[in-house]
Amino acid sequence: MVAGTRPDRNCDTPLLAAYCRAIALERRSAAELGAGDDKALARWERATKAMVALSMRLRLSPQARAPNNPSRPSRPEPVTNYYDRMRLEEADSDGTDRG
Amino acid sequence: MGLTEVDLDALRRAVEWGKRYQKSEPQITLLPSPLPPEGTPQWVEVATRIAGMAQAATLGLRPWQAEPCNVLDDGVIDDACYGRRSIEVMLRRKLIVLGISIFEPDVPRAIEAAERAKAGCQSPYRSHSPRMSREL
Repeated sequence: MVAGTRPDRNCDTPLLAAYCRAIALERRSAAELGAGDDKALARWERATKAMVALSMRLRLSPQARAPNNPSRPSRPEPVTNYYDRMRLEEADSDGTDRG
Repeated sequence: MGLTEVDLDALRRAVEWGKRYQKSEPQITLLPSPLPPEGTPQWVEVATRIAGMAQAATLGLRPWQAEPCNVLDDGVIDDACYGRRSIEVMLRRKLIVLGISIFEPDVPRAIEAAERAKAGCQSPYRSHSPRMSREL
């Protein structure tokens, strides 16, 4: 998602960070709920709601990814910069993230 | 610089890419009309320029990034210099190691195909079995 984002779209970062936190909260709440903490149910529900809302806004949900969504005009996928891709692959193989 | 048969094939495909591009964007003139005869120095010059454009498009390069055919690999690496950046030289060397021409118009696809061939596996979409060919 990061590699495929235009440089002028850094405004998505807070939304993406919130989405990651919502996932973490959902996982923790689910584990607590599994351990018998009934109060975790409300937290789990709120986290799930936030996850769904943010995934829709970030177009990460299955519905938003659907190719035949008639509400959006079809546009060719932007090509990921190959040098960026090489750097990411290199960082990945090194097990480090150099940004 | 001597051109191999692989280079000439890549340049021919680059010219075809240019023709297709010009057809889809008629307001942009990429190729001279008439085209110089194939194989002449003038044709090589035009084809090399088009190969660079095709590479920039297929690799999704930014204006300040060098295409593999315009990279200088003379041992001097300078990350502040067009055509001498380490990542640019790395890609050019990768192409040469994989036996791909530096004029290859569709670099990502060629790398993918070469790496697949190197790994010894074949894509299910490009099977050469007679049964699959009949079905397709």
